[in-house]
Amino acid sequence: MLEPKTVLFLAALLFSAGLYGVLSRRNMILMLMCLELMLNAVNIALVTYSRHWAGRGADVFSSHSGQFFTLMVMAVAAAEVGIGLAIIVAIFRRKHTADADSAAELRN
Amino acid sequence: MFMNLPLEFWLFAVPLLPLVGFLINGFFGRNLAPQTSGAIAASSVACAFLIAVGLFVGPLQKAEIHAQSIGWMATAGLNINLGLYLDELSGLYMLIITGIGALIHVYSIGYMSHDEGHWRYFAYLNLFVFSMLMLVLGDSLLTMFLGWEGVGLCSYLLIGFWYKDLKNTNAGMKAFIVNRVGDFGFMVGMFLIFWHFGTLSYAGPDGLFMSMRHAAAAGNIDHSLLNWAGLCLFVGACGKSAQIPLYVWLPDAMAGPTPVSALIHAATMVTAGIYMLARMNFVYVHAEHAMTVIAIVGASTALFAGTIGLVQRDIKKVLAYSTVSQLGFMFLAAGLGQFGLAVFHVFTHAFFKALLFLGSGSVIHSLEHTLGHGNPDSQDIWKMGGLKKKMPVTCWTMFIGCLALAGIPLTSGFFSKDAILFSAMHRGDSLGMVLYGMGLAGALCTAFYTFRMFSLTFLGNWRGNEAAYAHADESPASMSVPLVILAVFALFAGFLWLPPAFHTLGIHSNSLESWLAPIWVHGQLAMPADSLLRIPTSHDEAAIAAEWMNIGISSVVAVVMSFFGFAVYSKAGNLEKVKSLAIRDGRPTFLYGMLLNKYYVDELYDLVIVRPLKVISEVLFLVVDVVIIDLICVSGSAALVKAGSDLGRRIQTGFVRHYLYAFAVGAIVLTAVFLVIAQRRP
Repeated sequence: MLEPKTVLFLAALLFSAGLYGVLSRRNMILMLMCLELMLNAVNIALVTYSRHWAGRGADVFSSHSGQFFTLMVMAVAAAEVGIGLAIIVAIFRRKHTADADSAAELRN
Repeated sequence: MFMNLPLEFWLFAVPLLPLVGFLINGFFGRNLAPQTSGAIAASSVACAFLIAVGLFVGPLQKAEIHAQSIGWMATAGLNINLGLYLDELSGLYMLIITGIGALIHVYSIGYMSHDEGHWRYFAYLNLFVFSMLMLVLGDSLLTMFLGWEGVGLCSYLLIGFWYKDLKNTNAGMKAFIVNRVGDFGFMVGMFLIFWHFGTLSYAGPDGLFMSMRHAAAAGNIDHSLLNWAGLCLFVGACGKSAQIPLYVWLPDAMAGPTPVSALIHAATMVTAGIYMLARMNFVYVHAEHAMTVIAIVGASTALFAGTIGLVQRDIKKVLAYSTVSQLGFMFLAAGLGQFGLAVFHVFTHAFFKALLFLGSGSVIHSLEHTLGHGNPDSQDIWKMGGLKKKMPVTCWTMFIGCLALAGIPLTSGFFSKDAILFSAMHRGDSLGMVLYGMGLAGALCTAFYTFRMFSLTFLGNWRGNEAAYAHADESPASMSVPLVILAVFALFAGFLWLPPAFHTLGIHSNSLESWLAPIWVHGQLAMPADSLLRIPTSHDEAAIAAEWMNIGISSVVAVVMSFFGFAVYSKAGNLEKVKSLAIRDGRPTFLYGMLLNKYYVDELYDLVIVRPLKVISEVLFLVVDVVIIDLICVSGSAALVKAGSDLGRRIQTGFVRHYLYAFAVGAIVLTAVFLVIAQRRP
């Protein structure tokens, strides 16, 4: 059986990789993918905690709320990707590029 | 069926009828003919007068009427009802206001018949009668204050009635502003009364009357507080009733239509101060210092204004200063504790001064036909003369008014003024003698300037515009009938209160004195027997002798000075001599210059109050308004926001990654903070 610490370390690694990707990439599709990475890192952490606390500790933690939350995050993420891709497509139509820096009209 | 209505209904009808007249004229008067709006206004006041007479001769003879109905303000510790209280004092005032008011309304129909603003005039005049009735009939100091402010407003509106002339509007504003000074005193006095007694209502078991009696019975009267309250209220009376130092507005108030001068600035509104003093007599009898101040101010005003009246050229200004002077006599009486005599003088003065003003209005009205409206020549007595032949009714009624004002024996003014002078003499200390001297000197001036005015106007030869004299004519009946009615009262009103000395002749007539007696009960009951302010109940032989002496002195002074004024000014030859006495080498002599310029009081106020105020206002305008508020606060804050946002908007680069960086850094920082906090916690 895996230690929670190991899994959380993995989650942190994934999260950092996603954050690095979001910050360093200019291509909006890549940014969106990295965002997904971060969300999944969080999902892993939630599932880990849910499993770790199941059956012990306070009542709040005894339920499977962590796992439910994961499902929730997945649903929201799906919606977010839908909207995000739509925006990217809209920007691409106008600017003919998916570079995030191309959409800077709200400057100053 | 009307007889079955409760008394409260009738009492409320008295002030509300003029209010209805005001509403009709105010809303629809523009479309009404001058005669119609005048008739509405006059009939509303006349109806009020009839009801007032009915209340006075009927129910009021049995008991006071307290109509307590409309709740006005209800807070913890203060419940003000907008009630009316009719007793002997307010009843007498009610009769004067509605009676003389009705006559003056009728007179105004004739006087204002050619004025395009007639409906405005009648609306204001009705509003005035309503406010004045609220002032005297109100059952608490606060209701009195409501009316007090209302009459001030109407006074302002009517002084500046011919608003197209800047001089008139300035006079209106002067009256308003000077009255504000007094009103401030009134309010402070009212607050002190409320602080001490916890109520502002007069009647009722918790009212001021009973509170005062309880306090006196328990022996815990706060004399110092009552002195201060009395003084503050007197400041209010000074403003409204034109006493030194706040009298300056009244002569200027003559800019209004003459019937207004008669009603507001002679017969009723200016006597509101006396009403207030008489109403609060139970405070004043325990405030001897305040009373001394009142007596001194009153006597000084009587003399001071009397001397100014000696040289005025404008017929209305003569009467205005005479009013100030007569009001001084009333305050002298009040200051001596003789509130009844003060009210008596209000009563007689209302008739003869209204008569004189209406008479002067009649003269002005007939001259204005030719000279044009607002021409100062139509009021200049030096440019009149010989009008007796042209205007006999005006002349003879005014002659009666002059007799009463001068205090010729057996006229109404004689009895009231004489009784006031006697009570000063009878006070028995040196202050009393000084006050008596000042009062007698004032009476001396009064007799002289009254007949100076009369002679210059009606006797001798015409000295003005020939065409004006040719067209001068007796005024219409609507104007002359009120004159005759007022003349009758001016002659005989004094017989309601003959001096006790007349009792030795077997003539008993003191119905007004005994009528008013219940008003003073609350105050007099609580007074020590040796108080100077106590109204004497019996007259010993020495007092009677002194009174006869006083009557003799006053009569001689009045008759001699009247005759002197008559003799000097009725002959054309004498006028040149008078002029040469007053004006030497083309310049007025010192004394004449002083009097002609009213002792330079207006100039003094201008120098001491108006100019410093203007300088301070300029400085405040430049420093506070322009620099602090406009430059620093308004422009400064705007500039600060602009500079701040100029800096702030640079943050908005528009690049998503910059926002993301900020977002990530923020998240990391927050996480770190939460971790630190979580670790610190046990």
